[in-house]
Amino acid sequence: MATGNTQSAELDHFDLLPFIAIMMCLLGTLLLVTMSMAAINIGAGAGEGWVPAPDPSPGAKTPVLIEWDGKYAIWHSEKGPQKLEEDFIEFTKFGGGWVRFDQNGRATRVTGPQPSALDPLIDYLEPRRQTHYALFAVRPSGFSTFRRFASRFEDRNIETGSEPIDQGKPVRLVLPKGASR
Amino acid sequence: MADMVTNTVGIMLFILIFVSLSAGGAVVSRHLPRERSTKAKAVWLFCSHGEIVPFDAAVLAEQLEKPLGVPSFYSASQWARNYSARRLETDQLEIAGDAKVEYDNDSGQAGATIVRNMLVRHRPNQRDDAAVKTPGPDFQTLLAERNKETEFLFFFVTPDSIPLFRAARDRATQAGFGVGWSPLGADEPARITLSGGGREATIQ
Repeated sequence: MATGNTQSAELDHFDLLPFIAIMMCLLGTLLLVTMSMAAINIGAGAGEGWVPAPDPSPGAKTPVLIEWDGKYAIWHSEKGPQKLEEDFIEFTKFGGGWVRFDQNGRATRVTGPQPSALDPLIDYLEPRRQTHYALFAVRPSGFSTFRRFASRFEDRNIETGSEPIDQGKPVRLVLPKGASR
Repeated sequence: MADMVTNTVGIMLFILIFVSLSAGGAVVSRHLPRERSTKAKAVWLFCSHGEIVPFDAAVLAEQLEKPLGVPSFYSASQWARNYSARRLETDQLEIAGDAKVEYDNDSGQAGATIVRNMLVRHRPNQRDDAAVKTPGPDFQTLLAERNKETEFLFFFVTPDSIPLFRAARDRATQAGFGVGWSPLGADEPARITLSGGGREATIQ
């Protein structure tokens, strides 16, 4: 008789403790994932997406985003980001020939200009100067050389704009649908 | 039952936050800068070492040149050397002259042009703090004193003061001022061309 009573009591009592423990584990895991994503998105590694504010003026132009870190220009093109090295070597016509200026401004006579890694970017922007402009995201390591870099574009009458951005922070341009880069 | 409801709502909230952060990223809607010329007069500001320091380039240039007198064609080289040797100091700034002479014989008459620049460097003091991210009351006073119709603010910004510049620019823009900026390397002087021919300050 006593054995029968014990079995009945065990059947009536359903122990929730193991399920609560599983639930706590699940919540803990979700919390970890959520906090990790939050840290990635808004913490030290957060990126910035720049969305142009509407510009009703008739001369509105489409920005072409170029990151500048002092050595490399990263062109956010239609084909994806392209990393271009800037060597600060310039060629100028002089007295019927060409003069090459190196990084330190030393001049040497040469037979003609040589191609630069930046040529594809400038060749893209130059014929589109009426509709596009170069928008530079300038990183702290590129502050001291930025004006020299930007002059490459300004010398070709390409309009520019610039915005500082933290050294390691990713940046992207979020253009409205239908706008071309 | 109450436990189940609470847990379910909690999980849904977590998932909602997760999806929002993942999908949204940190998209910033902003007026993207584009350089434009302006007829307004520049109010020069140094934004470095966690501090915003305004300066009057015209007054400083006058102080640099005043002891040197007026140059002539024959004294141009000496005048330029003397100008380049000039130094001024204020509480927060170091100012140096930089000049060179360009001779011109193309028109048949010998001529000389003195190209004058002023190099302005912000001198940090002990109370400077690069971690400062918002402009102080002095900047608000500056905005109140200046005329947004005839003047615009031009910042020289060093890498340690990017958040401060952004905050100051937002305040200036809200107050109706045009704003331009130029990046400077750490401890690099700002170069202001006084004799024309240099790059003009623009708003963005």
